[in-house]
Amino acid sequence: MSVTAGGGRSTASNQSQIEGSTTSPAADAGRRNFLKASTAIAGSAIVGCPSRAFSADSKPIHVASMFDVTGGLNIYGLPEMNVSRMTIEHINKSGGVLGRPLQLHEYDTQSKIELYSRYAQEIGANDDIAVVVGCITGASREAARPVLSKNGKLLFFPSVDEGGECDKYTFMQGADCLQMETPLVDWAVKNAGKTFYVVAADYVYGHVATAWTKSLVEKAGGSVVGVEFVPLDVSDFGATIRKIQTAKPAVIMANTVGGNHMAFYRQFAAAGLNRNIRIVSPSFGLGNEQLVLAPEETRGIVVAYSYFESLNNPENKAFVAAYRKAYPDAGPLMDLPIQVWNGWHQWKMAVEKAGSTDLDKVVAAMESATPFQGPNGRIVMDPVSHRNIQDINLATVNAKREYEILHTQKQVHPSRTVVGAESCDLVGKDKNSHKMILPKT
Amino acid sequence: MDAIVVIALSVLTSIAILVLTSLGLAVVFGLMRIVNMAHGEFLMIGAFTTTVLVRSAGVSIWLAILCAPIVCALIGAVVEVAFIRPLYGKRLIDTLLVTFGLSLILYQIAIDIFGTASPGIGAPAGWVEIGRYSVSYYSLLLPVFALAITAALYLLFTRTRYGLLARAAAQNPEMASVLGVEVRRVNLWTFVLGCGLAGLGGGLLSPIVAVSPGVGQSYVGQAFMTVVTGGPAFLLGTLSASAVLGGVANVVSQLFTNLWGLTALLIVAIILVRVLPDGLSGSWSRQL
Repeated sequence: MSVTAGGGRSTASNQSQIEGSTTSPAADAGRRNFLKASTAIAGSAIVGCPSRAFSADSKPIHVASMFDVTGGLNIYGLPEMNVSRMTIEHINKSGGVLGRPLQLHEYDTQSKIELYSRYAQEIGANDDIAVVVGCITGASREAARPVLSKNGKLLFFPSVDEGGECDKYTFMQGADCLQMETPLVDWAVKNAGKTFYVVAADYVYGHVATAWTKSLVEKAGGSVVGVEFVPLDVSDFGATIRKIQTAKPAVIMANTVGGNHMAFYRQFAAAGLNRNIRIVSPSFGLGNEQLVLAPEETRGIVVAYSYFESLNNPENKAFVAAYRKAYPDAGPLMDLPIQVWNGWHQWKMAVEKAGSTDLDKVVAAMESATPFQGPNGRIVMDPVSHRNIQDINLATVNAKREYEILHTQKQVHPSRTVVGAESCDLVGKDKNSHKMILPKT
Repeated sequence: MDAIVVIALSVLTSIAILVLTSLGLAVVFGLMRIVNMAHGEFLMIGAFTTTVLVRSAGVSIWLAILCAPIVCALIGAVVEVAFIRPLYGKRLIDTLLVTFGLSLILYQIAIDIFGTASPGIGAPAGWVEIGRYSVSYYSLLLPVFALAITAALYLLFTRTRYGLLARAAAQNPEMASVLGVEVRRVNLWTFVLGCGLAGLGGGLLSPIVAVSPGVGQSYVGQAFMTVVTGGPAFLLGTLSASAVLGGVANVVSQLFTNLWGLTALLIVAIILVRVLPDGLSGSWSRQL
């Protein structure tokens, strides 16, 4: 966009005649060009460099984020995109990566899987983009990952997920089923009972998480008395609740996802079932369900996450302060946006260790497992599984809609095998793999 | 034995939910042939009205539910005058496009005001034990409300002068205006009634679903299916279609899973439209 001084004039001579100016046309043209040039330089100086920390010839590194900022999954996507933006601004303010600023390309996938594939193609075709931090559901990750991987783009996946990912170019930030469900199942068997009923979202996450639940419950000496898969757009749980009452479990393992599934907790409490049956959930709270639901509906639900806003450490305090300043109307912070922050920083550390954004060098640097102190404590990449070793906290919702931490398990290791199926070794046998291993469900 | 009772009650609740979310569309689309793609957003406005009144103003839930249709009626009046009035008698696609744009605008306004996760309200009135099962009172009240509202609408359209004028203006506006009916004023009232009904449906639904700006969008598709398969008798046809579709969906969900329940609903809708292309009430003598 160039700024032209004196726009709208046709010729210098006309102007002189109309205005009765006494200067010659040549002088006018010279002055015009000088004004034009100086405004252009001044304009680009203001717009161009956001910080004087960058070197004079630094080209920006292009990076991208793909999240569902609108649609049914925007309860997760909007905070994640906001944190992505905030993290990039923070990194740029402290000097960028390798002295170069980061430029974030934001993609809103509108809770539509086909847009993940389409934008992944766009990103794949864009030679400048080095890395993507994005995707929310496992289904969206599986729509984007093969395309990104084929085009040599790194993908950092911030959500909690079901495991099974075995791709050299993908790094999984969130906790997996083993890290979250093991403490939940152990707690439930000790404190609530041995009979489990599973209510899960009907897509890859729900099915794989249920396979994990079945194997973990069996190992803990309990039994699964019923399983119900619910599509993401269903909000009428009358049949589900009736079937739960027929099965009479002591514990419900709820793997619900999205806004419509919140109705389950509401209808469950409306039928008075939350007096006798405990709910444990590895997905409750990611969409701030505890805010939408009333306290009598959420009382006693036990969740397990790596991050809670109430964690008491200096990184978290700084992060929360910055987030609240940038987004004062945002709801409570949950695990997913924090993993976005962690993902960008782990990538930044790897690029700086590798000295370049070259794909294989960055992957090798990531696998050298430098620890990072995030708002959720110390995280370290496990090179074999490309997942983070992180602390896991068990918490319950109190009457004031806040989380109270019951118990912390430090540095929980992720799974290197898929339940009922093979293992994934990304530095060994799978060092050229780009696939997802599905469990035997 | 108690399982059968509970299942039957659950079926009635599912049918009631379908009726409550479709009645507004039955009036606007079934009677006036305005394709209202913003129907889901009116449901959402009604639900938010109730939720916000209970949460922030401490109003009793029943009063808050009654306020929902009033708010939606007011908004509906503005929408009718501004957007819908020029479109009566035009092609269906015109109203579809206009109301689709309106739905996007309303959805985004709601996100800007309320954010994506705002506090909701729980169901009132507790639960009742039936044998080994417990069922929430509110889910039993919904069929009662649905029936009462449908009965009231039936009386409105058959016994009152407004009802007669509304049906006349919708079915044959030119003849009606020749006979001295103020067609524009009557259409305004009918559209406002439809929006108010959508708001009432949303308000009644708000204690049992999670109210967010997208809450109405999952009901629009089923509402259209119900009204279309219901046929020309916009009230009783919608009621029958709700009974068939809602009943099938719930029973199949009970026997198998929710996915099969939804599939069964869609398959039955396809079969109905194929076998009875004029709708369930296509051959009824009473077109109401």
